[in-house]
Amino acid sequence: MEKCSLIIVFVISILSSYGGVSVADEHSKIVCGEEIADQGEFGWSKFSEGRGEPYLELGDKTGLYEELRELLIEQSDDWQSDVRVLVVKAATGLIEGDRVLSEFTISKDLTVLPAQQFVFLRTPQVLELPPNEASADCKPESRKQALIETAQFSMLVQRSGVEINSEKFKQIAEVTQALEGVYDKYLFEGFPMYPWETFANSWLLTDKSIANGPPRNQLVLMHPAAGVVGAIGSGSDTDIGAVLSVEPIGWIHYSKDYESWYGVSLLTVFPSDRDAGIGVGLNYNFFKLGVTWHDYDDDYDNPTLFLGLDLYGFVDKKYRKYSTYKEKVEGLLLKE
Amino acid sequence: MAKNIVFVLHGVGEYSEDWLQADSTAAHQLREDAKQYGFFEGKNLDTYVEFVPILYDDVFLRILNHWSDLGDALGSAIPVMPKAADKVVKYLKKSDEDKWAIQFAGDVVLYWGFRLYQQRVVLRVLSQITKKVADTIASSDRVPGYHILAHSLGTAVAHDALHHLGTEDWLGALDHAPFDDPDGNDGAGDYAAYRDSLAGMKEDLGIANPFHPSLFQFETVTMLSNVSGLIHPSENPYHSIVRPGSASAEGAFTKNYLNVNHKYDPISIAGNFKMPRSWEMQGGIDITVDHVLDKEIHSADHYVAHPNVHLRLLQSYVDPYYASDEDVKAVKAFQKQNGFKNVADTKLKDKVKELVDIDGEEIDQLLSGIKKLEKLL
Repeated sequence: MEKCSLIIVFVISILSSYGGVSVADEHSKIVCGEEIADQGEFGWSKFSEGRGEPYLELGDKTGLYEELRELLIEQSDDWQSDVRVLVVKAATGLIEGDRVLSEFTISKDLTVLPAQQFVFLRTPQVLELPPNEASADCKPESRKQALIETAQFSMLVQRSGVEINSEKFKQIAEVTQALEGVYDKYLFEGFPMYPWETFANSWLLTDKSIANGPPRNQLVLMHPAAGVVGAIGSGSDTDIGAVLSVEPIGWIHYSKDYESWYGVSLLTVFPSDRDAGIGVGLNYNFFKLGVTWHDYDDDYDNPTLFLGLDLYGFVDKKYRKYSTYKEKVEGLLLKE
Repeated sequence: MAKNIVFVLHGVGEYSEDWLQADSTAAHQLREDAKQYGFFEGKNLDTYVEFVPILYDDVFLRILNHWSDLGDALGSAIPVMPKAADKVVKYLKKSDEDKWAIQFAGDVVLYWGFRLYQQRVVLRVLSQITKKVADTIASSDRVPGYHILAHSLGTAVAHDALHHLGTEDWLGALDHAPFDDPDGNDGAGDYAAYRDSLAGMKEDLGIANPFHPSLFQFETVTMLSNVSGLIHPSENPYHSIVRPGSASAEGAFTKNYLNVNHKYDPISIAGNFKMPRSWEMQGGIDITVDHVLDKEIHSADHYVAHPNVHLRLLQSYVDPYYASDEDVKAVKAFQKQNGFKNVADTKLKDKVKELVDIDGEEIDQLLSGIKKLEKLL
């Protein structure tokens, strides 16, 4: 067998608790006019490790399922708990337009497979499993039975693959829900991003993969905020003025849980009572602290302390009034 | 009793949780349509099928509200703060159903222009789908068939969501996750086995993902008024895994793919998804309808009303049902009565023509904008 030329299409971990599936009439399929259902009693956990040459190799479709079942039952006493079975040359079949496994060959390839796994390799052949009994494919009777049995087996195999991975599906559901929370923190609860910042971060820092989560860093770009400035230079006035701040460019880094963040930005401030200033600001969560220098016609030599807040998310909407905000910040500064 | 699951993705402007209850949805129309066929006499479609609404428009709404809040917060503090963003938000919010192009374009810009928002929307969809799959596999006595039924912008969202679902290494991060070991050594043993299992999956498939097309396939993906070829921030739909075929050689994520468009629907015309001919050999079905029941030809229920569409859906969703020769006659009969050239109501026909003519200009603008966006990105 040339493994390299084959394509792995189905890997099924077999759970010891798996006991087959039962199917109600509402979920049966029709092949050659016969209503068929998954064979719930067919226990996959009874597959065994084989030895030597392939167990079964059938080129035609006659009696496929029955022979397979008999062979497996016959050898069941010797089977071990570590199941490693390779199914090769499994072709696809069509039941009412649904593609299912049909023709197949079972072999063993025990060296490359982890314990308790099946591997199905499939060739792109298609075997029609027609619903209409009048179809030429449903004659003679032996061929019809073979098609029905093939369909039964195929349905079971296909559904088994999904069922036995149920725990992993649950984990993916948990992962996607957890990621939703992480994205919400980054987009709506973290350092507030204006549309142009979201745009820049989307295309400069965001990975194509969603499973990797949002970026750990954030680019700050022309970010406006509000604050107050107070001169801190020796001999200067201690007046406090309201100010619009803009961070032309900066950088933010998030903690592992995206609950907190810190960063540094180039800072410009535009007070109404003095000239514009430029400096450096630090961000920690919603707080901003910076030092700016203003042109008082004496070469930027008067440093000014900037204290700012990203109002969004810091206080309730009703408190986002400048008067309340200014009082708070002034209170903080005057205490010092 | 496990029912087959149909995930229904809405189009533009469905912000409410209970949108699937509306008469204009495909699910409602399918229930009504089923009643005319003998198989369903005395039976309820919901006995066989569970329609699961997948909501994502609430993310767009949250984004708009977030922008509005940002502008509001800063505007309150700094009265001179420019409110351009706020104005944009208000403009978008005001757009009603009659201004579908504005609403559609607004969602497209948010969805395609911002990868972070697109990923948030996709996660919104995936968390609902994966939870339902996990719940139904774990609790039912049989694994149901899973189907996707998407409409309008939902077709693009569905395409992206499925592409990410089937191609990402979702469980890779768990391999390194700290292990909570309440059961002591037994638990550690389980975890070791789990890690081995993940490692095996990763070795075989290249990724740790039970939704890899080799392990999981949707039964059908149906795109009504398909715009996935126009809006595809994740992967080009002509080359992605969201195509019909066998899970193996073709790596396809669905057994059957129904591409359904309407000859006079402006969105269908703009979407212009040309299903590759080769897909027809793999389970792809390409349908262009032209019936006119009312002027809401873009509506999902209008699409599904055509027997050529709903018979295929019913046959796919209801396991024991396949359309009889008698049932199939409904296709011709319906077309004979409601096909565009056969519609007796000339006023209605004129309205539809007018709709295409009027919206044509908006479509051109929309297409032009989207193409510019595509070049930019």
